[in-house]
Amino acid sequence: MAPIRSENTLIIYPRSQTTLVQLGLGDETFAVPNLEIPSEIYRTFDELNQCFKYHANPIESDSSCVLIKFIENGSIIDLEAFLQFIKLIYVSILDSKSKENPDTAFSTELSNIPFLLITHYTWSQPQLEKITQFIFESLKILNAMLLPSSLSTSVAMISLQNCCIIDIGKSHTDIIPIIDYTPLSFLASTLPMGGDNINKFLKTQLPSNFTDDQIESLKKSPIFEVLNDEDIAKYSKYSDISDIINPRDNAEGMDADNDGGLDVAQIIISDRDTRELLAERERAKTEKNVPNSELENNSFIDKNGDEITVGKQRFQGCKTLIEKISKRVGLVLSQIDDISKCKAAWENIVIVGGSSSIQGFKEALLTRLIKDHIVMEPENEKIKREQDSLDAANAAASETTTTTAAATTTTKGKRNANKLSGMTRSVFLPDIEYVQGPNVIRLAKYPEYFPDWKKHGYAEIPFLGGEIVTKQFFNHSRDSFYITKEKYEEKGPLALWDVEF
Amino acid sequence: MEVIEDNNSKKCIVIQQGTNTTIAGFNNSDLPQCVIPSTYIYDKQEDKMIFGLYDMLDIATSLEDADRYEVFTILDKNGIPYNWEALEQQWNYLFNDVLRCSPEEYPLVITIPSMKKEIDGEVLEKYFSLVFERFKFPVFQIILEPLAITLSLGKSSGLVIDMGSSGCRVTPIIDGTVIKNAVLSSKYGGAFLDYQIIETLQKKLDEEATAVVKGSADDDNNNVNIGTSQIDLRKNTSIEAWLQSNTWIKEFKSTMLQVTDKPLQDVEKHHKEQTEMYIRQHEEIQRYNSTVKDSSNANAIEAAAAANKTAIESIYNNNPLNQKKNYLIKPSHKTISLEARECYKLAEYLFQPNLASETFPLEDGLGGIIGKSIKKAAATVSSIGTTVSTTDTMGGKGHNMGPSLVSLHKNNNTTGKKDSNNGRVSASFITQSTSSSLASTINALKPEQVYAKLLTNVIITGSSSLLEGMEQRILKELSIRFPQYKLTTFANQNIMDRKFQSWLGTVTMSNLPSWELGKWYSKEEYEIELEKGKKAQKQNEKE
Repeated sequence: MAPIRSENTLIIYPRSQTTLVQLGLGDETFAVPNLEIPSEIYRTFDELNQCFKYHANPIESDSSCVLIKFIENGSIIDLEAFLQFIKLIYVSILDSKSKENPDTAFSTELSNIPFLLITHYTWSQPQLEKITQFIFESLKILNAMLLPSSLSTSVAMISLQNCCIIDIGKSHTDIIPIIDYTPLSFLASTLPMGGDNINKFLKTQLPSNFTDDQIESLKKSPIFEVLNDEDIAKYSKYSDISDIINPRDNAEGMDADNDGGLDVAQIIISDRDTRELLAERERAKTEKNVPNSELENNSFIDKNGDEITVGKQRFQGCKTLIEKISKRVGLVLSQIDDISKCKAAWENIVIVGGSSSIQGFKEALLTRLIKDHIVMEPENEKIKREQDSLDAANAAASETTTTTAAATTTTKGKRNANKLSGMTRSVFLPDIEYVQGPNVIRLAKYPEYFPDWKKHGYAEIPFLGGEIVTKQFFNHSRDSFYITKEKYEEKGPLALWDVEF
Repeated sequence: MEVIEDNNSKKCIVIQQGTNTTIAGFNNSDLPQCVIPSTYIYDKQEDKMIFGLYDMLDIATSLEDADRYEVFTILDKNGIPYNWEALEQQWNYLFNDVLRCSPEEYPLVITIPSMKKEIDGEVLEKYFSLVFERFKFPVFQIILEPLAITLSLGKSSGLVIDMGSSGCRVTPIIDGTVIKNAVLSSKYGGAFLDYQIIETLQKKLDEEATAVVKGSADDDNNNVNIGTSQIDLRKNTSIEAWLQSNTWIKEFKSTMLQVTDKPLQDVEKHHKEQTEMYIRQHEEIQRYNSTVKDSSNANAIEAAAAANKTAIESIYNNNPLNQKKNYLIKPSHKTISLEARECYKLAEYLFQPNLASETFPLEDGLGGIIGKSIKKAAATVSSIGTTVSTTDTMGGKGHNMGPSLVSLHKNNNTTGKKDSNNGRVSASFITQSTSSSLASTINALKPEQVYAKLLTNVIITGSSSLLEGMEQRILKELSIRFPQYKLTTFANQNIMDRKFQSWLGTVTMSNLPSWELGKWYSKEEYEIELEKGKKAQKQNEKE
């Protein structure tokens, strides 16, 4: 049997809107996925054989042709269409590769393609088993691994032991706690709200001539951001928010490097022309001295290349989404019984998904999480406590003064000191310590040593995790981490459950 | 495309139906896929039952129309379903929304707590109808939780102390057999603690409010107010109460409550003596100092007296029972401070319920029922005649391990006929006699032998057992009652594992090559029995 070469791995990360695909790993470093395909397939009904047929493109001549979106809010709702979609990707890749190198392709690089599929926590066991069966029986793949997206995210974040993954999709947000490297899917929760919520809000705020596409372009443009300076200052004690890349604080105006990172992400996400983006960047540079947040109006370029100017609406629309996510995260993490592990999860919040690349979004969400969930002394109690202790100090001071005065011998120095302490009117009070958590809420640190990903942004980081796992485990001498052909032949689809990380 | 049928596979669905929580998943994973409350919210407006933790929490935390919703339970305090319609809906939710599988394809194993007597025939019949008729499972088995836990730990005997929400339950198991009449339970568990916590905290808040009112009344007499707090923890609606005990009270228990290693009174006494001793020491030193020093300076004497006073105060404050712990009641935005003593006292109620109210007898405390259960077990086992039996090991023939539901085939001929026409299913299908199975499985043992078997295998489980110090305290309670025996306790230190222990135990057992803790009931058998029942009934009618 051909040896496993991780460089030939096929990684597929299917999501509700688009699927990320890559064949082969980079030589030196992990590359960003080179294909992003809409998660949909066309289906026709074959009258002759009484069965469905699947196609990459619409069949105009066939009236039975329908477009099927097989994943909804992360869950597979049409398994057969999903499997055919995977097959389509696989066959297309085999086809193009073999054309590149018709004589030797199948005996070399295509002879053994390890396959890694990134899965969603709601995919059921029967579904996963059928996928496994399909991979081995229909695609004739020799080695495969099914990796939960939450786990691959935590792997990408330098293997976090305890964390909470917040994955914001188009119309849903998944919240999955990971404790001791294990995703707790029984505590995972999907909020039926995602990035679309921002678009909906913007639509109500922007002039009615804005198209949906333009709103989407605005949302993805660098001028769209969440402002939250005040709150950051207020809660910085409970986190390290100021450490997070925050260009407006760190540098004057727009930081070219940071912007660069976002721009590349934009190219990939929005399929825009590089030239346009460069032009946009130029403009940004000329306005370098005035940060976006201080401009009354600013402009972005829509899909058609038109420049559009918007006012303060470009800072709005994320509030509801952030509020709802924060509330749900609180409910999810409060279900972790082990207090110390729960606290650790609060200190490693991981925010991924499209909306997370909006400037200031992560900081705003973090600030909201702190505001909603941090355990700190209520303001009124603190004021009262300060007042009480001040009163006590004053009372003590005056008491001592009278006693000393009554006594025949007076020590002047002591008396003065007492007076002084009463006069300073500020008493040092230690903070109240609480038994429960969280006392600190932090974002986990993103891995910065993969230059491609650093440029790309971290919204699609579960894919990076898939790459890392591929490199580590398909090359591993122990084959208990993935399903091999032998294991499949012995146990069938249930071989899937013997694999463990 | 069909998944290949693998006849060797033992993949099954395991459901632990606890009074407080329902845990479900497949037996191929050591983590359940679903952990939901064993309660549901009823939406009166939509006439809909709402299951699932987050769906329930969502409603409970954003209540606009409080009268619209109500929380209901599905199981009684013994863990037996009484609300069968809700149970069916809950299972619907489990299989359709969480596990997303079709019940026809998998064996089903459910666990129930041990009980003093046999599972009621009527209950079993309702289970059959739910499992076979409504959900069409091919085969079905009911397993006693303590048996699964004990056997999954590789033991055939043990004393399982299960501290759950509705109370604590002690189950002695000897050689794979539950000694039914020695199963004892108390109503003092997690839910009882919830209630006591609310009462204690409310009292505290009210006292504080009174103090504030008094304080302000001293300043200016305009302020006449009743001394009750603005914050009311005693909730009127079932949904608020449910929310409370599933959110902050749960956290309060795990962070604030602690169990002392011996009865609280003893600990109090110990610290009191310590304090007194320190004060005596301090006074000795003072006396020594004053004899040496010049006593003419009045000022110095005064200063010394003041210093002395502070020193004694600090000795009092050093008593660990006076240490304060702070908890923030998040929904009310209120800090509550309790002395260690108060935290200990709440947990002490499990051992000495009489401290909470005189109407609660001391002997129903945990120590009391553990002791009684062991003695009863010893008496029961030793009274059995020396019937010859095949003492079996785990995973062996198996049927004699689960006396609750012993093999159908065995008893069919003996007890079957006479009452077969009472119900839809013949009674022999669902009942069996405990005494005979007990006699056939256990060799008579001397009481000392029973004590030894139980006391060296004390298994502590259940969510409420996670209070800090619980294991040490149980050891202490046992050593007071059985001073001459060696004691060994087993308590899983992993919090999550302890919470899921019954479920995990069942999963472990179900993965053994050959296992049959209870009896496998099959759909076909059930249908045959059903037919028989119908025929018999017809016959009856004719006659």
